[in-house]
Amino acid sequence: MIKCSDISAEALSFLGAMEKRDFSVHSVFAHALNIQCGDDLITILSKGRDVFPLSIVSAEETDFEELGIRQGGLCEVSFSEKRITASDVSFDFSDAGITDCDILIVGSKKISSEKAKPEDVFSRISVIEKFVLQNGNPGGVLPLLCTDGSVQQNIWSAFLKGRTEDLEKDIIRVFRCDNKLITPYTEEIFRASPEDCSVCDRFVLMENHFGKITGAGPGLTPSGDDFITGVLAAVFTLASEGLITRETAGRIGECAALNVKKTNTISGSFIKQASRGCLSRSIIELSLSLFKADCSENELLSKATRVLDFGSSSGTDILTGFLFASYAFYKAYSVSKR
Amino acid sequence: MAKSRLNELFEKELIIVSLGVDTFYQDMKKQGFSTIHVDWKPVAGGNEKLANMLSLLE
Amino acid sequence: MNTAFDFPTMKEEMQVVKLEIRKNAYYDSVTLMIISKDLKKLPGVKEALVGMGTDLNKEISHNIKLNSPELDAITGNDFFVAVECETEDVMKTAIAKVDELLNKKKEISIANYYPPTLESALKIDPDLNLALISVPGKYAAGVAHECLDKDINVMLFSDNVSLEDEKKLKEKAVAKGLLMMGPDCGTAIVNHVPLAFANVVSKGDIGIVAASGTGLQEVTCIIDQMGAGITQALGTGGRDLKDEIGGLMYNMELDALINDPSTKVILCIAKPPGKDTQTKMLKKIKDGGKPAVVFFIGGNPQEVEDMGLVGAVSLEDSARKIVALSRGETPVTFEGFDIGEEAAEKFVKDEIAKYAPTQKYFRGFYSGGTLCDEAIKIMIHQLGDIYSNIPLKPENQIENKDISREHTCLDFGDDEFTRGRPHPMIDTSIRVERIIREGNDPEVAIVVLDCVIGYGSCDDPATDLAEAMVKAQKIAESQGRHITYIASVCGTEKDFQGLTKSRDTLRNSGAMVMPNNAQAIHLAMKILKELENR
Repeated sequence: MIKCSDISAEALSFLGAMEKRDFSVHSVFAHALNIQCGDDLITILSKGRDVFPLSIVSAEETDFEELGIRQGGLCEVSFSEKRITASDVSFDFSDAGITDCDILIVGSKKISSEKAKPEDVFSRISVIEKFVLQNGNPGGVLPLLCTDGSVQQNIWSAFLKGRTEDLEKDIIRVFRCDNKLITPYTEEIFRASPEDCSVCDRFVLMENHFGKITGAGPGLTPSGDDFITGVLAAVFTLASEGLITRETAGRIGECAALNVKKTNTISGSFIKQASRGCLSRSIIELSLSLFKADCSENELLSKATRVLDFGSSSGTDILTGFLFASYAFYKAYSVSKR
Repeated sequence: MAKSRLNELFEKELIIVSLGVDTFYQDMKKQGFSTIHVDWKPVAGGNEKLANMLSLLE
Repeated sequence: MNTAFDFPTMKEEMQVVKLEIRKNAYYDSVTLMIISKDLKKLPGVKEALVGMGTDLNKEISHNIKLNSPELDAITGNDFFVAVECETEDVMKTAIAKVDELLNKKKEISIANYYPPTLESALKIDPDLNLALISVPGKYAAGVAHECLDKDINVMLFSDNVSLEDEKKLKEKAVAKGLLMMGPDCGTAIVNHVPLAFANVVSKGDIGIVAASGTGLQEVTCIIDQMGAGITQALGTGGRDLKDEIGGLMYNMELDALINDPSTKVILCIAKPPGKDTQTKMLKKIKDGGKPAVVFFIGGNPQEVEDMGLVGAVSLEDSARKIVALSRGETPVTFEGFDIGEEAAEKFVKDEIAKYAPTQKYFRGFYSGGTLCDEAIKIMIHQLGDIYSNIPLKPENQIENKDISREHTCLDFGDDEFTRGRPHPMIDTSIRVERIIREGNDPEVAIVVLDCVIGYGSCDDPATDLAEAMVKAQKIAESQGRHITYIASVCGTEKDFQGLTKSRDTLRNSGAMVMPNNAQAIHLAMKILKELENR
């Protein structure tokens, strides 16, 4: 019987809705175990790993492969006993601490403290960008961040370059038409190009453009998917801080979610969760520290590091997407000089 | 007198993090000690792009 | 009639594209990255695409002409490796590599994946309690601060850290009760874990504090060789006892040993401290109430004895005395030879008989700084001038480190020798080269070497040094001379290179192997004294 120390609130309510059911083991890794529950995956993680939506963290260092748990094996969930059993190994989450992974909920729960000034937020984003360019894995979408050519494009980033630029246009337009984003020049933009405010069409295009990125790239979670997760993380962060409406964030998320069939189950699961604003704890921590009034560069970078560490290039790709969407917001907010 | 922190350390298992060259880590791993190696790199600083982007905020 | 067939002379390029597919197989991202990297490194591999079989990845494979009907048929939940190779043989190697990596995947993902920061390491193990820092000097202080802030004890192997930074770090550490050994701390044994350059030493009841790396190695090894053992061997870095730092770490470590129930006796090693610091330190040891030996390398043991503590005249002497104290025996000063006076004198006579009239000087080529320092300090009274890169007298600073002058004693671990090169304990080549070159010098009579084994040192320093000595001796003999090689091995039987094995290797090359540095030096001095009288 292995005790679990943490469980995400989403996993808890998901399992609660299931009661006693037989599921199957989707995949087994040294430090993670994925259980297929209908259309979704519940993941059990080894000690010390970051909590993400629909995950449970073991209180001990666990090697799931060594435990003899096999892909396809039967898995039993008993919510009343707070226990999951796979191949005779039981995981007990009755004492697990509950962690919210929904940034909108976490954001609303936090003690309202002073917010950072927009220029400070902006300069922090710039600091993170420099950090990622210096320390990130250049094998995924990182080269897209680099406008001066100092990081070489690889096969994947070259493929995605035009596609992400298309997505950027959609996001900027959608932000500009958001009710929260009121600038003195909004009316001028509407008058100048009325078709740009056909927001519904813009969302259709966005769904299509997300689809042209989903599934592309190296890794178990293809780089394009991680990029999308990062984009959604930034979008929901903006919503959580009240800079765009939750409605806009939700619709952007929907556009991404409609494409999850284009990728594998594991990666798709992350996109699905992100499309509802459900993110891993380390991404939430980073997002919150961006907007905190008082945040030192060291603190910021140490939080960015935790995200950078995911997988081999996943962390880099997520941060790339996050920065991409953050800059899109600033571009939407600014006025291009004529 | 309360035990000093260092005296307490003498009674614990040493769990070592090595930062920098990994030969020391390899040696400790060979002997079976609890150890982890950090492939340490310096953190970036500086902000040229900030200047560029800030101009867009005007 | 001779019929010749025309064969096409144009060499056709073979493009072989092969696919490995694992259906419904999931490998973690680190493994996938390693596979991709390693395949691309193989000679003859032009392109390798590793990933999940999503529509877009299949599209990309089409774009670079690595597609095939089998690849088109797989799904996003299937894993593929598509490789473009020059020949079928390269393809076989590539496929074998993929299999090897996939089967070894667990070891690899743990063994080759190093977390990139302290934060990420703490995520993996929040109980880390000691950091061994060997990052470049420029960043070392920053990293040390980070560790101390996270309540992690520090061993700072890096050097080129300013005195100011050292002081700030130690003040922080002392306030928190944490170790901050260093900078430039190359040796420690904490809770019986050999850290950086250190030997495997038996457990016992002797606690040691040393402001010196090789000094600590030498005494711990001699203690072990005498059948005794240690509780802790703590370092402080070379500058801790200067008045500017005031022995911050030395005193904290002394307190801990004084209060450690397992430590019965305490050995202190250092270069002579600043006056104030010395007085404070000796008083602390005295008040501590445990029998103690204090050895200030090159210092006056009388100052120690005046405080009612036991002084020493060499590293060996300090080790012998602390073992005596731990056994409840009376410590007695030792400056003799394990082989005995008679045997030593016979050796001296035999060697002198082989010298040419031009031979009169001693050369010391050391990998351990403290051993070099000890050699100079023991010999200076008899020799007067000893040229060195770490001289005792400023006027003895050697002009050109690559050319010996009269009596010369060099520390090959010092900055000017190690710039851009590994330390001589790791890489013997610079000393080896010098030993051989010195064979040409008509004035050299004696060469003294240290051979440090244990962790941090290379696999077999004894063999490298032995081969060099044989070569050099051949050169000398061809010119009608004989060089006396005297070597000592700093190590224990438990070290992986083996104490006896290393000694035997050196002995077999014709060197006179002495049990430790002090005896090697005393033997050299004996020869030189005879030479003078000749």
